[in-house]
Amino acid sequence: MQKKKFHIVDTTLRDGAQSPLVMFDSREKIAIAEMLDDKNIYQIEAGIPIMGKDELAIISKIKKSCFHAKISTWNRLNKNDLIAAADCEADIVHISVPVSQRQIYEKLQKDVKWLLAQLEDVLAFAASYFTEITIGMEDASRADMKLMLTVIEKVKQFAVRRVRFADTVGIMTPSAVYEQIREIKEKTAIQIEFHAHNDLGMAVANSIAAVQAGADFIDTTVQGIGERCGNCDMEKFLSAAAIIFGSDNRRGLM
Amino acid sequence: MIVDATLCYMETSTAKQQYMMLMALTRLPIDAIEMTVVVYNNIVRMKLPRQKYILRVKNKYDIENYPGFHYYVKSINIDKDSDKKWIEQVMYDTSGRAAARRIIVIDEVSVINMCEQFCTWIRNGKLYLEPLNYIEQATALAYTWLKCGGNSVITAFCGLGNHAPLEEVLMTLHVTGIKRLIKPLNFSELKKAAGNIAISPVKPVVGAEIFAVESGIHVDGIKKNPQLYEPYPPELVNASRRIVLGDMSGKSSIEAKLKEYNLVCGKIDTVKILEIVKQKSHDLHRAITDEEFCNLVKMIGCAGSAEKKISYSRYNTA
Repeated sequence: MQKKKFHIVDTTLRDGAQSPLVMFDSREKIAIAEMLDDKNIYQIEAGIPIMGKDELAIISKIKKSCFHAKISTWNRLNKNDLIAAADCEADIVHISVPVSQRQIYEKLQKDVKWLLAQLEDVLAFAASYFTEITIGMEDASRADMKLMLTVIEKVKQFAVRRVRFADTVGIMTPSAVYEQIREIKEKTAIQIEFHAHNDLGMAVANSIAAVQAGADFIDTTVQGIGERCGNCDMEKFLSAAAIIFGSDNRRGLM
Repeated sequence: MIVDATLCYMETSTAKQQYMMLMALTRLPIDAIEMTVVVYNNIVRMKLPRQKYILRVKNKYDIENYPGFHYYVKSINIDKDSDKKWIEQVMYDTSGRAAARRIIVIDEVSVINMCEQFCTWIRNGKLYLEPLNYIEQATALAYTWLKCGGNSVITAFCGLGNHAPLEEVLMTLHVTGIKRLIKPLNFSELKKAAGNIAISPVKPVVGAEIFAVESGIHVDGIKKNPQLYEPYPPELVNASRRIVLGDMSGKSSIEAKLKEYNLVCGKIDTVKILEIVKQKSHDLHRAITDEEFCNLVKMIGCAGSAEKKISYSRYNTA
């Protein structure tokens, strides 16, 4: 049995809430956050501040209601999102950075040069507001490794210690996850958070492979809710991890 | 090679359903169909299509009673609490000789831990792999086995009998380029035949709502290029994408829905419509229907027939 340590980052209230099949009101969001906090989940991704004052108010209430979990917010790569995020006093600010050619050229309609300049500009701004910043490499599963390594080296200059490797469209397989995360860990020594989607029914298997490759954080949602076929189901992942890695990590606390 | 064992878990279905399932399976890119003696006895009077069949028998003597199958394999009861990680079985040919081996992977294994073992098994000859899904590894194990050069895997539609779901294995082989689909997969007949199985709306590949999208960021991306947020086009599984309006919607979603129903709102700001939609969604505690949206925007002065003019799957080219 291989003993492994990892933290759970629960994104039920952000990516989970993006499922068209669920809708949480503010009372339910706070209740979910409190339950996750009671379970000693390491981090709760509580929402997207730029969505407006209601979202901001809920994130602030969640921050006040949780005693153990670190509360984080999800933001795009721009200053307006971060200005909104500053109001909710979350512990961690997460900034999503599209890294695949498709996302950079077709969604942002920019180029790599612009992306790297924007990253530097936004991080310089963020560093003056927030003590802990994490970076999300959106669509990492379809991205060029060289660009991801460049992004990581860049963000390390701003004292960012953790990047999220997002399989945004859920197309990865365990061996691909293992190889890519191993390579990033070996070349950058940065902490990795793995974010799976279940489009091919492999979110749990991929998350297990990520831990085996050295990922330090695993993103999950309650009952696996999320976009399209959902995210990595927390209970299923923890059960599988308990069997494969031993029972110490039953709650992903360590 | 994919061997599908769905029929083994339909013993209590009617003969008509069993036959419907058989015919639906033969239209998918699978290589052999496995069934039990009970199912075979139910459908044998109907015309069975040309196909490789594997019969799951209670004991070896059944082989003489049911000649003509490609292989025979004995039914076994799996004790998932046993210490064994896998069980090895013999597969027999029609003369009762051992012709191949099958390994049922039960538990406690991850793909990364199994890669080396897979290579050893593959070197040792013809082997069928039957990964069970007690800890959510079956699809990944089945895919990895085939990618490593393994001969055959056993699957079942929607993971019946705790197997690797057929639809997930087929789609993974397509997406990863190991075995490209040459035509769309049609699971509607399988769903009908498996009538009493509850299929989650978000079940990978076959769920009814897997191409529904609500979040403003994703709708905006999909309008630019659906591939930004889809692992494969919905047409590949005879589905279509659908924009849902709710509290996670953004301006893009409103614009797309107005266009979809050919509604013109003149000077009425999209942001105002979005606020009204979000409020309505909050009040109802759910996403709003297209009919509710059309009524709502007409009430605030938008004009148009509110008849669906474009399908969202055609949005990019419309």
